[in-house]
Amino acid sequence: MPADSASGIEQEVLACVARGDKRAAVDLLVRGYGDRVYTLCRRIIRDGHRAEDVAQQVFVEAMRDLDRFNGRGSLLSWLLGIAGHRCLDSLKQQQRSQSRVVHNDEVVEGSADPGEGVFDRLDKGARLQALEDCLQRLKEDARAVLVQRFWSGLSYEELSDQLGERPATLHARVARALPLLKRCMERKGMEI
Amino acid sequence: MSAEPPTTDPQDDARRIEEDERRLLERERTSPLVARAGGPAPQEDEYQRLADLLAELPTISAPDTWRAQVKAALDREASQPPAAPADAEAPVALPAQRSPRRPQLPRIAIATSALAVAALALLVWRHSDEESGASRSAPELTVELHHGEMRHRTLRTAAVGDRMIIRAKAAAAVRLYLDGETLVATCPGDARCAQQGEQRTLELTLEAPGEYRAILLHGPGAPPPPSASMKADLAAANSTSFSVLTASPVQVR
Repeated sequence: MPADSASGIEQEVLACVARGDKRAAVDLLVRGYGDRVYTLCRRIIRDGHRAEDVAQQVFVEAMRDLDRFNGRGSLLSWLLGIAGHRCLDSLKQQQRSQSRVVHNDEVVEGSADPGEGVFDRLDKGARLQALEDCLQRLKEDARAVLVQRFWSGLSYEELSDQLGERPATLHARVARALPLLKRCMERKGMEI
Repeated sequence: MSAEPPTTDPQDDARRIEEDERRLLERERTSPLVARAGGPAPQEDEYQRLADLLAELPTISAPDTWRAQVKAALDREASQPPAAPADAEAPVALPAQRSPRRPQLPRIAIATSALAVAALALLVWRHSDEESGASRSAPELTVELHHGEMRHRTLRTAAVGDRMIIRAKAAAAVRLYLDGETLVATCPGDARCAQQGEQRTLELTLEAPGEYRAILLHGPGAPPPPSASMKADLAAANSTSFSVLTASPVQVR
Protein backbone atom coordinates (compact mmCIF):
# COMPACT_ATOMS: atom_id res chain seq x y z
CA MET A 1 0.00 0.00 0.00
CA PRO A 2 1.45 3.42 -0.91
CA ALA A 3 2.61 5.45 2.09
CA ASP A 4 0.30 8.44 1.40
CA SER A 5 -2.71 6.14 1.16
CA ALA A 6 -1.73 4.46 4.44
CA SER A 7 -1.29 7.82 6.11
CA GLY A 8 -4.73 8.87 4.80
CA ILE A 9 -6.31 5.79 6.40
CA GLU A 10 -4.54 6.46 9.68
CA GLN A 11 -5.80 10.05 9.80
CA GLU A 12 -9.35 8.89 9.09
CA VAL A 13 -9.11 6.23 11.77
CA LEU A 14 -7.83 8.67 14.36
CA ALA A 15 -10.59 11.14 13.43
CA CYS A 16 -13.20 8.41 14.04
CA VAL A 17 -11.62 7.60 17.40
CA ALA A 18 -11.59 11.29 18.33
CA ARG A 19 -15.34 11.51 17.78
CA GLY A 20 -15.91 8.29 19.73
CA ASP A 21 -16.80 6.08 16.79
CA LYS A 22 -14.45 3.15 17.38
CA ARG A 23 -16.59 0.84 15.30
CA ALA A 24 -16.17 2.99 12.18
CA ALA A 25 -12.47 3.31 13.00
CA VAL A 26 -11.92 -0.41 13.14
CA ASP A 27 -13.94 -0.94 9.95
CA LEU A 28 -11.43 1.34 8.24
CA LEU A 29 -8.58 -0.65 9.73
CA VAL A 30 -10.04 -3.91 8.46
CA ARG A 31 -10.49 -2.40 5.00
CA GLY A 32 -7.02 -0.85 4.90
CA TYR A 33 -4.92 -3.35 6.79
CA GLY A 34 -7.00 -6.54 6.88
CA ASP A 35 -4.86 -8.21 4.23
CA ARG A 36 -1.61 -7.35 6.04
CA VAL A 37 -2.80 -8.73 9.37
CA TYR A 38 -4.31 -11.78 7.69
CA THR A 39 -1.06 -12.45 5.80
CA LEU A 40 1.08 -12.07 8.91
CA CYS A 41 -1.03 -14.62 10.76
CA ARG A 42 -1.07 -17.04 7.83
CA ARG A 43 2.70 -16.76 7.60
CA ILE A 44 3.38 -17.31 11.31
CA ILE A 45 0.67 -19.90 12.02
CA ARG A 46 0.64 -22.83 9.65
CA ASP A 47 -2.91 -23.86 10.47
CA GLY A 48 -5.13 -21.74 8.21
CA HIS A 49 -8.25 -21.94 10.42
CA ARG A 50 -6.34 -20.92 13.48
CA ALA A 51 -4.63 -18.08 11.62
CA GLU A 52 -8.02 -16.74 10.52
CA ASP A 53 -9.36 -16.86 14.08
CA VAL A 54 -6.33 -15.05 15.44
CA ALA A 55 -6.43 -12.38 12.72
CA GLN A 56 -10.10 -11.82 13.52
CA GLN A 57 -9.33 -11.52 17.23
CA VAL A 58 -6.69 -8.89 16.49
CA PHE A 59 -9.35 -6.52 15.16
CA VAL A 60 -11.71 -7.21 18.06
CA GLU A 61 -8.87 -6.38 20.41
CA ALA A 62 -8.00 -3.31 18.37
CA MET A 63 -11.56 -2.04 18.75
CA ARG A 64 -11.35 -2.44 22.53
CA ASP A 65 -7.98 -0.73 22.80
CA LEU A 66 -7.99 1.87 20.02
CA ASP A 67 -8.44 4.76 22.40
CA ARG A 68 -5.29 3.62 24.20
CA PHE A 69 -3.18 3.85 21.02
CA ASN A 70 -0.39 6.17 22.10
CA GLY A 71 0.57 7.52 18.68
CA ARG A 72 4.11 6.14 18.87
CA GLY A 73 4.70 4.65 15.43
CA SER A 74 1.94 3.99 12.94
CA LEU A 75 -1.38 2.27 13.51
CA LEU A 76 -0.21 -0.41 11.09
CA SER A 77 2.84 -1.16 13.26
CA TRP A 78 0.60 -1.19 16.31
CA LEU A 79 -1.80 -3.65 14.65
CA LEU A 80 0.99 -5.88 13.36
CA GLY A 81 2.52 -5.86 16.83
CA ILE A 82 -0.74 -7.06 18.37
CA ALA A 83 -1.06 -9.64 15.61
CA GLY A 84 2.45 -10.98 16.12
CA HIS A 85 1.90 -11.28 19.83
CA ARG A 86 -1.42 -13.06 19.44
CA CYS A 87 0.00 -15.41 16.80
CA LEU A 88 2.78 -16.46 19.18
CA ASP A 89 0.25 -16.94 21.98
CA SER A 90 -1.74 -19.17 19.68
CA LEU A 91 1.35 -21.19 18.72
CA LYS A 92 2.21 -21.72 22.39
CA GLN A 93 -1.33 -22.84 23.08
CA GLN A 94 -1.16 -25.19 20.11
CA GLN A 95 2.14 -26.63 21.33
CA ARG A 96 0.63 -27.30 24.74
CA SER A 97 -2.31 -29.09 23.14
CA GLN A 98 0.09 -31.13 21.01
CA SER A 99 2.39 -32.07 23.84
CA ARG A 100 0.96 -35.56 23.77
CA VAL A 101 1.98 -36.03 20.15
CA VAL A 102 4.60 -38.69 19.67
CA HIS A 103 7.17 -38.55 16.89
CA ASN A 104 6.27 -35.14 15.54
CA ASP A 105 9.82 -33.92 15.99
CA GLU A 106 10.38 -33.71 12.26
CA VAL A 107 7.45 -31.48 11.56
CA VAL A 108 9.55 -28.37 11.76
CA GLU A 109 12.85 -28.96 10.10
CA GLY A 110 13.59 -32.46 9.03
CA SER A 111 10.72 -33.54 6.80
CA ALA A 112 11.29 -34.61 3.23
CA ASP A 113 11.87 -31.68 0.94
CA PRO A 114 9.01 -31.50 -1.54
CA GLY A 115 10.50 -28.35 -3.04
CA GLU A 116 13.76 -29.87 -4.25
CA GLY A 117 13.90 -29.82 -7.97
CA VAL A 118 10.58 -28.06 -8.22
CA PHE A 119 11.87 -24.53 -8.10
CA ASP A 120 14.36 -24.70 -10.88
CA ARG A 121 13.71 -21.26 -12.27
CA LEU A 122 15.66 -18.43 -10.76
CA ASP A 123 13.02 -15.79 -11.32
CA LYS A 124 11.68 -13.74 -8.49
CA GLY A 125 8.40 -15.62 -8.19
CA ALA A 126 10.21 -18.90 -7.73
CA ARG A 127 12.61 -17.37 -5.22
CA LEU A 128 9.73 -15.96 -3.20
CA GLN A 129 7.94 -19.29 -3.31
CA ALA A 130 11.10 -21.03 -2.13
CA LEU A 131 11.50 -18.44 0.61
CA GLU A 132 7.93 -19.04 1.82
CA ASP A 133 8.68 -22.75 1.92
CA CYS A 134 11.96 -22.25 3.79
CA LEU A 135 10.28 -19.96 6.31
CA GLN A 136 7.78 -22.68 7.06
CA ARG A 137 10.65 -25.03 7.88
CA LEU A 138 12.00 -22.78 10.62
CA LYS A 139 10.90 -23.15 14.20
CA GLU A 140 7.96 -20.98 15.13
CA ASP A 141 9.76 -18.34 17.15
CA ALA A 142 12.46 -17.95 14.48
CA ARG A 143 9.87 -17.68 11.72
CA ALA A 144 7.82 -15.16 13.69
CA VAL A 145 10.73 -12.86 14.46
CA LEU A 146 11.98 -12.83 10.86
CA VAL A 147 8.53 -12.13 9.45
CA GLN A 148 7.85 -9.36 11.95
CA ARG A 149 11.28 -7.80 11.62
CA PHE A 150 11.67 -7.84 7.84
CA TRP A 151 8.19 -8.29 6.36
CA SER A 152 6.24 -6.23 8.92
CA GLY A 153 9.20 -3.87 9.26
CA LEU A 154 9.01 -3.57 13.05
CA SER A 155 12.04 -2.20 14.84
CA TYR A 156 13.71 -4.18 17.61
CA GLU A 157 12.27 -1.70 20.10
CA GLU A 158 8.74 -2.24 18.78
CA LEU A 159 9.24 -6.01 18.81
CA SER A 160 10.64 -5.86 22.30
CA ASP A 161 7.62 -3.85 23.52
CA GLN A 162 5.18 -6.22 21.89
CA LEU A 163 6.81 -9.51 22.77
CA GLY A 164 8.15 -8.58 26.18
CA GLU A 165 11.60 -9.85 25.24
CA ARG A 166 14.91 -8.02 25.48
CA PRO A 167 16.30 -6.62 22.21
CA ALA A 168 19.46 -8.70 22.76
CA THR A 169 17.35 -11.86 22.75
CA LEU A 170 15.71 -10.79 19.51
CA HIS A 171 19.09 -9.93 17.92
CA ALA A 172 20.26 -13.44 18.74
CA ARG A 173 17.10 -15.00 17.36
CA VAL A 174 17.46 -13.14 14.06
CA ALA A 175 21.17 -13.97 13.86
CA ARG A 176 20.41 -17.65 14.40
CA ALA A 177 17.51 -17.82 11.97
CA LEU A 178 18.95 -16.02 8.94
CA PRO A 179 21.80 -18.48 8.22
CA LEU A 180 19.34 -21.39 8.42
CA LEU A 181 17.05 -19.62 5.99
CA LYS A 182 19.94 -18.90 3.65
CA ARG A 183 21.10 -22.52 3.82
CA CYS A 184 17.61 -23.74 2.99
CA MET A 185 17.50 -21.44 -0.05
CA GLU A 186 20.88 -22.72 -1.18
CA ARG A 187 19.67 -26.31 -0.88
CA LYS A 188 16.86 -25.42 -3.22
CA GLY A 189 19.39 -24.05 -5.66
CA MET A 190 18.13 -20.52 -5.15
CA GLU A 191 20.37 -17.53 -5.52
CA ILE A 192 19.52 -14.88 -2.99
CA MET B 1 29.22 -12.50 4.35
CA SER B 2 29.98 -16.01 3.22
CA ALA B 3 29.91 -16.37 -0.54
CA GLU B 4 31.19 -19.94 -0.54
CA PRO B 5 29.20 -22.42 -2.56
CA PRO B 6 27.07 -24.78 -0.46
CA THR B 7 28.98 -27.77 0.77
CA THR B 8 27.61 -31.23 1.30
CA ASP B 9 29.64 -32.02 4.39
CA PRO B 10 27.31 -31.54 7.38
CA GLN B 11 30.22 -30.45 9.59
CA ASP B 12 31.27 -27.78 7.10
CA ASP B 13 27.66 -26.68 6.90
CA ALA B 14 27.35 -26.39 10.65
CA ARG B 15 30.63 -24.45 10.84
CA ARG B 16 29.55 -21.98 8.15
CA ILE B 17 26.20 -21.48 9.84
CA GLU B 18 27.87 -20.85 13.19
CA GLU B 19 30.32 -18.37 11.68
CA ASP B 20 27.55 -16.50 9.92
CA GLU B 21 25.49 -16.48 13.10
CA ARG B 22 28.38 -14.95 15.04
CA ARG B 23 28.93 -12.22 12.45
CA LEU B 24 25.24 -11.50 12.15
CA LEU B 25 24.84 -11.21 15.90
CA GLU B 26 27.57 -8.58 16.02
CA ARG B 27 25.96 -6.80 13.09
CA GLU B 28 22.45 -6.84 14.59
CA ARG B 29 23.82 -5.32 17.80
CA THR B 30 25.61 -2.47 16.09
CA SER B 31 24.09 -1.79 12.70
CA PRO B 32 21.07 -4.05 12.20
CA LEU B 33 19.85 -5.17 8.82
CA VAL B 34 16.88 -3.19 7.62
CA ALA B 35 14.80 -4.55 4.76
CA ARG B 36 14.41 -2.03 1.97
CA ALA B 37 11.66 -1.61 -0.54
CA GLY B 38 12.48 -2.35 -4.14
CA GLY B 39 13.88 -5.81 -3.64
CA PRO B 40 17.38 -7.21 -3.32
CA ALA B 41 20.21 -5.37 -5.06
CA PRO B 42 23.02 -7.52 -6.48
CA GLN B 43 25.81 -5.37 -5.01
CA GLU B 44 24.64 -5.99 -1.44
CA ASP B 45 25.78 -8.93 0.66
CA GLU B 46 23.67 -12.07 0.84
CA TYR B 47 22.04 -11.33 4.18
CA GLN B 48 21.00 -7.83 3.16
CA ARG B 49 19.53 -9.36 0.01
CA LEU B 50 17.78 -12.02 2.08
CA ALA B 51 16.27 -9.32 4.33
CA ASP B 52 15.13 -7.41 1.24
CA LEU B 53 13.65 -10.58 -0.22
CA LEU B 54 11.70 -11.19 2.99
CA ALA B 55 10.23 -7.71 2.67
CA GLU B 56 9.15 -8.61 -0.85
CA LEU B 57 7.01 -11.56 0.20
CA PRO B 58 3.53 -10.95 -1.16
CA THR B 59 0.50 -9.92 0.84
CA ILE B 60 -2.28 -12.49 0.67
CA SER B 61 -5.77 -11.17 -0.01
CA ALA B 62 -8.01 -12.11 2.88
CA PRO B 63 -11.05 -14.06 1.65
CA ASP B 64 -14.48 -12.43 1.77
CA THR B 65 -15.63 -15.11 4.20
CA TRP B 66 -12.97 -14.01 6.67
CA ARG B 67 -13.98 -10.36 6.29
CA ALA B 68 -17.61 -11.34 6.96
CA GLN B 69 -16.49 -13.23 10.09
CA VAL B 70 -14.55 -10.21 11.31
CA LYS B 71 -17.55 -7.96 10.74
CA ALA B 72 -19.81 -10.33 12.69
CA ALA B 73 -17.28 -10.54 15.54
CA LEU B 74 -17.02 -6.74 15.66
CA ASP B 75 -20.82 -6.44 15.66
CA ARG B 76 -20.97 -8.84 18.59
CA GLU B 77 -18.26 -6.94 20.41
CA ALA B 78 -19.93 -3.57 19.74
CA SER B 79 -23.25 -4.84 21.07
CA GLN B 80 -21.71 -5.86 24.40
CA PRO B 81 -22.60 -3.50 27.26
CA PRO B 82 -19.61 -1.68 28.73
CA ALA B 83 -17.90 -3.29 31.72
CA ALA B 84 -19.21 -2.33 35.12
CA PRO B 85 -17.00 0.21 36.84
CA ALA B 86 -14.72 -1.17 39.53
CA ASP B 87 -16.40 0.89 42.26
CA ALA B 88 -19.93 -0.19 41.37
CA GLU B 89 -22.29 -1.05 44.24
CA ALA B 90 -22.38 -4.74 43.41
CA PRO B 91 -20.02 -6.68 45.69
CA VAL B 92 -18.38 -8.39 42.70
CA ALA B 93 -17.82 -6.50 39.44
CA LEU B 94 -19.67 -8.07 36.53
CA PRO B 95 -17.52 -9.49 33.74
CA ALA B 96 -17.33 -7.17 30.76
CA GLN B 97 -19.40 -9.41 28.53
CA ARG B 98 -22.20 -10.17 30.96
CA SER B 99 -25.67 -8.76 30.25
CA PRO B 100 -27.19 -6.35 32.72
CA ARG B 101 -29.78 -7.60 35.21
CA ARG B 102 -33.25 -8.25 33.84
CA PRO B 103 -36.51 -9.20 35.52
CA GLN B 104 -36.73 -12.89 36.48
CA LEU B 105 -39.31 -14.25 34.00
CA PRO B 106 -37.98 -12.64 30.82
CA ARG B 107 -34.52 -13.76 31.92
CA ILE B 108 -35.62 -17.40 32.01
CA ALA B 109 -37.28 -17.04 28.62
CA ILE B 110 -34.18 -15.39 27.20
CA ALA B 111 -31.92 -18.05 28.68
CA THR B 112 -34.06 -20.81 27.18
CA SER B 113 -34.08 -19.13 23.78
CA ALA B 114 -30.35 -18.52 23.94
CA LEU B 115 -29.74 -22.18 24.76
CA ALA B 116 -31.93 -23.24 21.85
CA VAL B 117 -30.11 -20.86 19.49
CA ALA B 118 -26.74 -22.02 20.78
CA ALA B 119 -27.69 -25.68 20.31
CA LEU B 120 -28.93 -24.96 16.79
CA ALA B 121 -25.78 -22.99 15.97
CA LEU B 122 -23.66 -25.90 17.24
CA LEU B 123 -25.58 -28.35 15.10
CA VAL B 124 -25.23 -26.15 12.01
CA TRP B 125 -21.53 -25.61 12.71
CA ARG B 126 -20.85 -29.31 13.20
CA HIS B 127 -22.82 -30.16 10.10
CA SER B 128 -20.93 -27.66 7.97
CA ASP B 129 -17.60 -28.96 9.29
CA GLU B 130 -18.59 -32.54 8.55
CA GLU B 131 -19.65 -31.54 5.05
CA SER B 132 -16.38 -29.85 4.27
CA GLY B 133 -14.34 -32.49 6.05
CA ALA B 134 -12.60 -29.65 7.85
CA SER B 135 -11.86 -29.41 11.52
CA ARG B 136 -11.03 -26.42 13.67
CA SER B 137 -9.20 -28.49 16.30
CA ALA B 138 -5.43 -28.70 16.35
CA PRO B 139 -4.26 -31.75 14.40
CA GLU B 140 -2.52 -34.54 16.28
CA LEU B 141 -0.74 -37.60 15.01
CA THR B 142 0.59 -40.51 17.05
CA VAL B 143 2.12 -43.80 16.00
CA GLU B 144 2.06 -46.86 18.25
CA LEU B 145 3.86 -50.13 17.62
CA HIS B 146 2.62 -53.40 19.10
CA HIS B 147 4.96 -56.36 19.40
CA GLY B 148 2.90 -59.19 20.85
CA GLU B 149 1.45 -57.83 24.08
CA MET B 150 4.00 -55.01 24.27
CA ARG B 151 2.94 -51.54 23.22
CA HIS B 152 5.49 -48.84 22.30
CA ARG B 153 4.81 -45.20 21.59
CA THR B 154 8.38 -44.01 21.31
CA LEU B 155 10.10 -46.91 19.58
CA ARG B 156 11.15 -46.28 15.99
CA THR B 157 12.04 -49.81 15.00
CA ALA B 158 9.80 -52.82 14.53
CA ALA B 159 9.81 -56.23 12.93
CA VAL B 160 7.72 -57.69 10.14
CA GLY B 161 4.54 -59.02 11.72
CA ASP B 162 4.31 -56.25 14.37
CA ARG B 163 1.20 -54.12 14.37
CA MET B 164 1.14 -50.36 13.84
CA ILE B 165 -1.67 -48.16 15.09
CA ILE B 166 -1.83 -44.62 13.80
CA ARG B 167 -4.17 -42.26 15.60
CA ALA B 168 -4.99 -38.90 14.08
CA LYS B 169 -7.14 -36.05 15.27
CA ALA B 170 -8.51 -33.30 13.08
CA ALA B 171 -7.16 -34.96 9.98
CA ALA B 172 -8.61 -34.51 6.52
CA ALA B 173 -6.51 -37.52 5.58
CA VAL B 174 -3.85 -39.82 7.02
CA ARG B 175 -1.44 -41.64 4.72
CA LEU B 176 1.21 -44.23 5.37
CA TYR B 177 4.11 -44.74 2.97
CA LEU B 178 6.77 -47.41 2.67
CA ASP B 179 10.21 -46.12 1.61
CA GLY B 180 8.48 -42.96 0.38
CA GLU B 181 7.47 -44.77 -2.78
CA THR B 182 4.59 -47.05 -1.87
CA LEU B 183 1.30 -45.87 -0.45
CA VAL B 184 0.57 -48.58 2.13
CA ALA B 185 -2.72 -47.21 3.40
CA THR B 186 -4.81 -44.09 3.29
CA CYS B 187 -7.47 -42.99 5.69
CA PRO B 188 -10.27 -42.51 4.79
CA GLY B 189 -10.41 -44.97 1.92
CA ASP B 190 -9.03 -48.10 3.52
CA ALA B 191 -10.92 -50.92 5.26
CA ARG B 192 -8.40 -50.80 8.12
CA CYS B 193 -9.35 -47.20 8.85
CA ALA B 194 -11.94 -46.38 11.50
CA GLN B 195 -13.38 -43.03 12.45
CA GLN B 196 -14.97 -41.99 15.70
CA GLY B 197 -15.84 -38.33 15.96
CA GLU B 198 -12.71 -36.35 15.09
CA GLN B 199 -10.42 -39.30 15.68
CA ARG B 200 -9.24 -41.53 12.84
CA THR B 201 -7.47 -44.77 13.61
CA LEU B 202 -5.53 -46.81 11.11
CA GLU B 203 -4.45 -50.23 12.34
CA LEU B 204 -2.40 -52.64 10.28
CA THR B 205 0.18 -55.40 10.36
CA LEU B 206 3.62 -54.49 9.04
CA GLU B 207 4.08 -56.96 6.21
CA ALA B 208 7.30 -55.85 4.57
CA PRO B 209 10.64 -54.47 5.73
CA GLY B 210 11.56 -50.88 5.00
CA GLU B 211 10.97 -47.36 6.26
CA TYR B 212 7.37 -46.53 7.14
CA ARG B 213 6.24 -42.95 7.55
CA ALA B 214 2.81 -41.55 8.36
CA ILE B 215 1.61 -38.09 7.43
CA LEU B 216 -1.51 -36.15 8.37
CA LEU B 217 -3.14 -33.58 6.10
CA HIS B 218 -5.09 -30.84 7.83
CA GLY B 219 -7.19 -28.24 6.07
CA PRO B 220 -10.54 -27.35 4.60
CA GLY B 221 -12.37 -29.39 1.94
CA ALA B 222 -11.02 -32.43 0.17
CA PRO B 223 -7.25 -32.98 0.25
CA PRO B 224 -5.32 -33.51 -2.99
CA PRO B 225 -5.63 -37.17 -4.08
CA PRO B 226 -2.79 -39.46 -3.04
CA SER B 227 -0.17 -40.87 -5.36
CA ALA B 228 2.40 -43.56 -4.64
CA SER B 229 5.07 -40.97 -3.89
CA MET B 230 5.19 -39.26 -0.51
CA LYS B 231 7.34 -36.49 -1.94
CA ALA B 232 4.79 -35.74 -4.66
CA ASP B 233 1.94 -35.81 -2.14
CA LEU B 234 3.75 -33.40 0.19
CA ALA B 235 4.40 -31.07 -2.71
CA ALA B 236 0.73 -31.26 -3.71
CA ALA B 237 -0.37 -30.47 -0.14
CA ASN B 238 2.11 -27.60 0.10
CA SER B 239 0.69 -26.06 -3.06
CA THR B 240 -2.77 -25.87 -1.44
CA SER B 241 -3.94 -24.52 1.88
CA PHE B 242 -3.38 -27.89 3.59
CA SER B 243 -0.87 -28.17 6.38
CA VAL B 244 1.03 -31.40 6.98
CA LEU B 245 2.20 -33.20 10.10
CA THR B 246 4.87 -35.79 9.45
CA ALA B 247 5.56 -38.59 11.92
CA SER B 248 9.10 -39.83 12.43
CA PRO B 249 9.98 -42.83 10.29
CA VAL B 250 9.72 -46.35 11.66
CA GLN B 251 12.34 -48.82 10.46
CA VAL B 252 10.96 -52.32 9.99
CA ARG B 253 13.36 -55.27 9.74
